[in-house]
Amino acid sequence: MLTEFVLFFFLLLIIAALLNGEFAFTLLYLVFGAVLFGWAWSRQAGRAVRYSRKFEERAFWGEEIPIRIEIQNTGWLPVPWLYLHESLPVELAPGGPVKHVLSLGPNGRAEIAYQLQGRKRGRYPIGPLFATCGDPIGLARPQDYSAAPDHITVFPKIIPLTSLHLPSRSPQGTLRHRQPIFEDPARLLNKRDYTAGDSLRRIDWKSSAALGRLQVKQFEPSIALEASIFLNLNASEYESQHRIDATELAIVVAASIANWVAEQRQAVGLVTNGIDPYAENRSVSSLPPRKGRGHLMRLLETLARLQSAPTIGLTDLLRRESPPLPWGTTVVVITGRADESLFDELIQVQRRGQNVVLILTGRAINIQKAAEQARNFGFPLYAFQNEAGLDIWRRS
Amino acid sequence: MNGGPTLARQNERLTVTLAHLLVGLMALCFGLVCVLLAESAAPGWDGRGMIPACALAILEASLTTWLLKKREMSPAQTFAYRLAEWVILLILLKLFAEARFGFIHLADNLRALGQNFWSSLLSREFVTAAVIVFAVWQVCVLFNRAIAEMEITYLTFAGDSPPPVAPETHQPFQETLGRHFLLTGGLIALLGGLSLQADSARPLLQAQVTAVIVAYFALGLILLGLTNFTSLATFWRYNRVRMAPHLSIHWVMYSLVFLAVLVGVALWLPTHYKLGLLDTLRILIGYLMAFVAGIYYLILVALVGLQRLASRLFGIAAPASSPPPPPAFEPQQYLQPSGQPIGQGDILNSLFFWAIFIAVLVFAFRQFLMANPQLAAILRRFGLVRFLASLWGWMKTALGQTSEGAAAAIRRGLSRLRRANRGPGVSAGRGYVSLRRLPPRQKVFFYYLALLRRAGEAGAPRQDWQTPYEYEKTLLPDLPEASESLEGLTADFLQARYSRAEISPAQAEHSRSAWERLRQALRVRQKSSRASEEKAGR
Repeated sequence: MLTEFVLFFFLLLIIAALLNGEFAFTLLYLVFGAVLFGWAWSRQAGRAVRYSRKFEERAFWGEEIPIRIEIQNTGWLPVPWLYLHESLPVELAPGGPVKHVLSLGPNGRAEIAYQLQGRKRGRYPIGPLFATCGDPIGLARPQDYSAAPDHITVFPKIIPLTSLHLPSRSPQGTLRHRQPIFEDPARLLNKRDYTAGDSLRRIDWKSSAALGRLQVKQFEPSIALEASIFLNLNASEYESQHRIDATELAIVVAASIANWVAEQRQAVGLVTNGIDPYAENRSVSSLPPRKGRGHLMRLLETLARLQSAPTIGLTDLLRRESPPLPWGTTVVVITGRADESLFDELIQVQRRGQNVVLILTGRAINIQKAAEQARNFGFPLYAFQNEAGLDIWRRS
Repeated sequence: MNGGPTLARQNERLTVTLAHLLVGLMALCFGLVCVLLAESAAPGWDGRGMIPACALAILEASLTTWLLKKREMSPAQTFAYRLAEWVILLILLKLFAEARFGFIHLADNLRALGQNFWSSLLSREFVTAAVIVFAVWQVCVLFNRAIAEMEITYLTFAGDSPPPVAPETHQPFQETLGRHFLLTGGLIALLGGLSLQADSARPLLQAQVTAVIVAYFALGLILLGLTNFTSLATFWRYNRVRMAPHLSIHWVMYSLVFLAVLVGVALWLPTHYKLGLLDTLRILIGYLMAFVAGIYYLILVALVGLQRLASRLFGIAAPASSPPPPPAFEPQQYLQPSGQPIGQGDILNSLFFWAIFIAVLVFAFRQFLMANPQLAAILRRFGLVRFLASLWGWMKTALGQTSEGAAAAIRRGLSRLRRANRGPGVSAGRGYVSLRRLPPRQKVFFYYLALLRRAGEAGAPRQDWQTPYEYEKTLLPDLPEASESLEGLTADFLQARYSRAEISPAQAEHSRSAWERLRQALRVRQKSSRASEEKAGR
């Protein structure tokens, strides 16, 4: 249509020059004004529109995540039409991007609400939001704008565990224990008559005086469980055919154990060789064992962002990260494969006074042999091929 | 919000009806200009009753287009149909052209047909009326074809089984309509100009022509707006875009406002000039020179004043120099060809006119270059163009930097003033902390410090040597019911205090809720300790 515009322009000039038609200038202003005003309108109005997303930045697996986009026209020019296209991750939005078209009055507001489904753990970009704004006549080219994306973290799936028995040697905690070796003098359980061999320090003199015979205090044994989860995400240590499923299962197991330990009000930490694509140098710093909900959230967030990659091996990781852990800490090792070198390293961990629990996820080979070796060395081994396997820890 | 096929069909009918109405009115404007031209060019010709005749021709054109579309005809059938249609139209027009002057005149003319067939049949009245009506009819048919194209596009993509290829945001029928609008507009402007040229003495002719032509263009722009909406709505509907419920109403409203403003401005802007471009430029340069001379004079006056002040301070005899006389500025007199001087108002009017005209010219050229990048590339090969482009770029950058610098300076100044008046989140006047205004990190600090203060009041003060973790261990036995909150708040504080990670509002909110629970627990503890103290006192 540009050629027609040019022709029209020259025709008007000829009319103005030769036919003394002053109205030609009025037409010139009208037609070119429509283009110029339209261009200036869509440009100014589009620039004055502000976008903000309102949503919880963290969500649990399986949760519905409501998201609101608030659109505000901060200018005095109305926006005749505004086409919005919000790019969304396929993992959370099976319906594809959100597309809306609306108009905004001067200083007008609008809101777009939609829901995402936390179907897969990870850190996802929400957006960018692409906006196109134009004038109603359509002679000027519409203007394009975009708003930066925000990010949402979907925590890994947590399977509620009820009967997970992690070994511990840390005395005097808050967890009851059967072995009398961990008796806690702060937890008085009972009193009984004195028998030869009882320590004199255990005699309760007040009750002995009241009853007229010697009474000895009995204490409830208790332990403190301080667990550190060693999650192996070195891609080469998983069967290549089932790597994705096995590593995802490993992360689910790690999240479930961490959640269980935190629910018991015990300290839990995380050491991993996986990578975090959003971190500066893609490496993940270890989280030392700590208590509390806030710490669990940080741990889950780390687990949400982890990805398997060819990184340092699990044995190297254990060699580097396990020595600083306190005596009695339970080291939960989650990996896809158990070989001689790993058992050698785990024996070293055990010798340092730490408890070892080995968990194999996915279709690991030679499970029988590994179970036998673990039994010989005296630490428990669990192998899970899928999430249903975790049911053994869900029975009361 | 997205309508089904029924709603789409209703929308399509409404849009098409509106489009036909607009086209009819535009064709009527065209007919009006033709009548004005005929009246100006042929002084004896009487245009009475031509407007209803044109309106009927427009109605007929729309109806026949609809009928032809409904009955799929071969080209031969269409030709025969059109021929028959025009024979009937011409007969009716002949009767109408002669009957305008009374039935006696018609009877005389019909009688004369037997004697002198051709000269009686092709009378001036009839031929002029036939040409005008045919032109109007043709314009209407031309636009109606484009509207039919629009209808087909609409139905194709909004129907039950749309094609697999998505429609474009800019449809071909928009191009067609735009082209017809501009070409007919050019023709109507030319006819209007010719009518003014033919009879410049006729009163109100200029105003009539201008009003009719502006009306044509305004209606045409509304039509373009309507087709733009149709095209975009088709695209959105096909792509399952959710459309706001009042979008079409707002569209119409903003289109009308846009046009009203545009027409108002176009009619208000100057359309004539009494000074040529070069004279206007000369005046502009004269004003600029006078401005520079004025600045120079002010500087000189300031310097002489300073010199005198210095002489008085040091007791030296003041030099005999006196401030220079103000520069003389006498606006040059410009004369019209008739010899009358041009007033200041006319000069301003001319300045305004040329400024707008050049702006339109530059804008049109820029748009043309943007649409033809090859031409822009060819032009860039010329040294002068390159130099001008680099000069423009430099000026644009310099202006941008200056404006950015000024804006930044103003922002800095304003923020300094704000800081001076009140600190971030702290009201200087009353000395309280406004939590709402604090950034999330500061909020976490606030809640942790509030915990320290409240715990100190409750009898568990933090020792100077204690780290947050050590203090947490001290407090934990006293607050077993709020142990999680204490751990959470301590962890949040440590992160806020010692990490560079961004603290989100959600985290600050978490600290707030932890602090609320801890405050409750501390209050309970404080009450119980007071009660036990009172008991011990009794």
